[in-house]
Amino acid sequence: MSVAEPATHPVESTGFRRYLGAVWKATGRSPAWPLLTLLVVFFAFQSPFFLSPFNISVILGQTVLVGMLAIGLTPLAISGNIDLSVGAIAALGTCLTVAVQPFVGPVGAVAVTLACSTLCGVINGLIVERLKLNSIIVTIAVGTALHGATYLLFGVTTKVAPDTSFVDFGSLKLLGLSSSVIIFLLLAIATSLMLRFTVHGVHTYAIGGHRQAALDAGVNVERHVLINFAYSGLFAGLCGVLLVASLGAGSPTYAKDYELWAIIAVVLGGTRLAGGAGTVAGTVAAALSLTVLRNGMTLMKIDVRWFLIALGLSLIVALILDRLRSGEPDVAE
Amino acid sequence: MKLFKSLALAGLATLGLSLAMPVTAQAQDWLEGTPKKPISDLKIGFSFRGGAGGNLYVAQYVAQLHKMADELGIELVIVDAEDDPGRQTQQLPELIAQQPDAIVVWALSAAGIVPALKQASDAGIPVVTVVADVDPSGQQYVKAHAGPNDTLQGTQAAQALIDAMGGKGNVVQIMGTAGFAPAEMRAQAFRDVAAKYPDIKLLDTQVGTWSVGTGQSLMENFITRFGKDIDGVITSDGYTGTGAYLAVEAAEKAGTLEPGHVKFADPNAVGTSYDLVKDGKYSATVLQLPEADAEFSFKIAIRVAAGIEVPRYSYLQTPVATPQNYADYPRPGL
Amino acid sequence: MSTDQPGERPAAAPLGIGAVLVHVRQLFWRFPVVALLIVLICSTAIITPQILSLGNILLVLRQFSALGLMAVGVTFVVLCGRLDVSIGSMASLSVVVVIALHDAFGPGIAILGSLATAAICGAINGYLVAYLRLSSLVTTLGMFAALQGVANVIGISGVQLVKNPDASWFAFIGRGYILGIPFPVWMFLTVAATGAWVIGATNFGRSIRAVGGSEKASVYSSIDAKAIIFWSFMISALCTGLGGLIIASRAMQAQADSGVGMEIMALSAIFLGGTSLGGGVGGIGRTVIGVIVLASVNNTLVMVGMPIQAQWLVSGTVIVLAVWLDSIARRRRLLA
Repeated sequence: MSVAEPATHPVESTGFRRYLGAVWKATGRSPAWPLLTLLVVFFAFQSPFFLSPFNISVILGQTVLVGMLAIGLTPLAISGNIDLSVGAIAALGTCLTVAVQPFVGPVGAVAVTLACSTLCGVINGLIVERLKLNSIIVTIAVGTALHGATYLLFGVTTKVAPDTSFVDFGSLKLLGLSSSVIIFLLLAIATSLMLRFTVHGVHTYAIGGHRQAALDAGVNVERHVLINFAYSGLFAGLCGVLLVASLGAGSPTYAKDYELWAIIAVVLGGTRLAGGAGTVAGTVAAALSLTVLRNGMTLMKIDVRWFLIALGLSLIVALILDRLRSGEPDVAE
Repeated sequence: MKLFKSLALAGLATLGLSLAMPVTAQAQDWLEGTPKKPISDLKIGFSFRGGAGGNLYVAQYVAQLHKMADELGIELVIVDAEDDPGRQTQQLPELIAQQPDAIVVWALSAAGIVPALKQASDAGIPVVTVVADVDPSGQQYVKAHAGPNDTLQGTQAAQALIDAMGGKGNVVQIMGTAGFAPAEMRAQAFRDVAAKYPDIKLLDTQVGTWSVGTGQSLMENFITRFGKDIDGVITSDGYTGTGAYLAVEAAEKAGTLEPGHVKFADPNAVGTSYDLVKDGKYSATVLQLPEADAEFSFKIAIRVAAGIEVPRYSYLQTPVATPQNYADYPRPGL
Repeated sequence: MSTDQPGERPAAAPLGIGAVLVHVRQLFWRFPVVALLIVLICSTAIITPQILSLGNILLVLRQFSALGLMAVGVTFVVLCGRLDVSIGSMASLSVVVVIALHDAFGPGIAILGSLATAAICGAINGYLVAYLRLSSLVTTLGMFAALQGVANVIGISGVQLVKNPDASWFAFIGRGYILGIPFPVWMFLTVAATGAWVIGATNFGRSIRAVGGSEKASVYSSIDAKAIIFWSFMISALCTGLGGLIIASRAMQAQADSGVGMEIMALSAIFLGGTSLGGGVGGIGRTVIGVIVLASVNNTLVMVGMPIQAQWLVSGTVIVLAVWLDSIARRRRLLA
């Protein structure tokens, strides 16, 4: 974390409080960890089924798709940009994966999809960095255009994957966890390590913290932001591939609104959209919280219509708590 | 035409029957067999497309299932996919884990649901698909399908419209949301029927959003583009049809169109399209009522769960409401 | 437009073709989007001449007046350097509230109830963003989810239909005409004109641009930046409430998803017009141009029988192009 310790932080005296403080620090000061703990404890008391190994694997499985987008978005958001086109890239990814399979085989299809989605990210990054435009505007527009292009290229009807090896891969299990959950966890750890230990990661925090200062210090800002856009595109493509692994089909209608859920997860995880702060662990915890909330409400037989309300309110409460705690406003958009 | 009259009559009979006889634990003639265990011991899982979008059809359908389950003492476990095919596939294992006697699936994506159906089938739980049929590649995992027949409804509406137009003229079509199977099937049904009439011409098809507002806007654009060339309007549902009617009515008042010339029909009635039929302003609307649909399909699902043989396909009778016979049917509550 | 760089006037025009070209070029760089629009309309008019008929122009204006109203409102927020993505859900909510109250309490109370609901939402947004200094994108994203949830609950359990639509004067809002021009268009133009006046000629307007330009600097010039931001969210919400009334009155029934996606369309219109996020640059006139461009793209493609997905492709591409051209134009002006 590159953010300086806020001066308002109370000085802990008792051992327990110090312990709590250490835990808080270790979690990257993300509001998602207390939220997740609270939700888990609450639902565990409400339903005996909630903490069963099976339900836990279900929750992990349901976190993967949006979680993948959220992890990809985290470095980009830390460097002070946002990508609202990831849902459209994922939808394009499902169609591509299915469509090119007959020509290049399943592994080739994954390669083509990941290459194309990374390219989409690079295009976003080039427009934002080279033309000096706002990333929100650009990625909304690119997302809309990509969505339209996907429909026109592949048609509205869902295409079934001709080769079942995808689905077989998706249903592989290891230690009770499905292959997609394992990929998700590994990539989350990898991204976290990248942010913490590579030059690119350090510069990403620096750019988001103070772009001009980073420029003055001779950091190649454009290149690092471009890499982060490509990274977010790559993860959107991965989300598309995993969708095909679980659905066995591709369609432009898949991954609708995923970008909004992903951004909610990123922010709930403690990443500032203004840039400069955030952790992958926080993002993962937030993505898990969203699934836990939904899963728990289903177990308690609460009408899901209330889920949207609960979600919106918890997002705002998390923001307020973050604001009260840190004392720094997150004003950029 | 005769065929459709008899279909309508048959529909009336079933509908009348189902309305007159509330589902109670005493009267279970509809089981047509002996259940392997008491009905009140059954546990049924239900995975559906989601009602979070504020969709009234879905809401009334689910409410009816709850009501029947309560009356019969069946344990109903529901998961809601909230309009996300990805989530629906991930949710089916939740139902499988609870080992229900049957799983009822209202699929969002006809092809995308197949891997999840396979899992249920592998776990030995019979699957009943409702409302929307699944892709041919998944048929082997499905025990029975029950629900409305979208192709038939599309054909019924198309036939009613073409009859009202006297077998000739130009038609504009407004579909439901893109990528949603019932919208595609109903639209295709119109094209198939129209192909038999050389004097019927489809001017253009646009994609709507199952809403009055979009129906209205798209119809206004059609009126500007084709003007008096339009003789008939076919839509995917009554909401869109109502919107299209409002646009035509406004154009008639403004003198752009000749009053009463344009004919309307839709394959899925809502309250307002039913009212328009009643007032004689709309040629026909096909009654696919959520409560009737839910009751019909859930009975099939209960029979499957109780180990009673059912036909592979059971279709809900959907009568056609016309200005002559509308009074025979209840007004849709959506 | 009047609000954009107020001091600038074109130099006295010399005569001759060369001078005209210079003028055209200057105009192009001033409103690059308008040039794109003219090319688009001219090329379509060759295929479908009807698009230039008065009937069609009024039709397009009417179809987009609800969106236009909302975009005008959000422009205030964007000029402050903030975003409001909750307006789509807010419009859905406003639609279900007005229809749910209509038959029980009459149109007057229903309209008041609906506008009051919008005002409450605006006040919450404004308070959280202005006074608690939360990120506007995330705050309004939270409101976007919560308000759509509330709209769904009311939309399913409330009254969804006005029983006798022809008997209520409420229908006039969406369906009526004054002097041959649809009433929603009057509403849109009136609100847009008032908005342009507020931004261009009042202290409040100048303060908004000051806050958007540099919030810190504006505080030093004794502007109450918090109040300015709060009130721009209120304006955004009230305009959205008015937009919701038009949508409800057009259909005289409530579908809970009526406003879905409108926030992206409104922002697209604003960005198309060239109002920049956080720069304090732009204005209502530019938003009106943006709305007209968006509406024309939509109308033109429907008129030539293109599927709706083509509209997404075109409008997405046009936005990137327009924003890019506009940023070049701005740099040129800075250099000049």
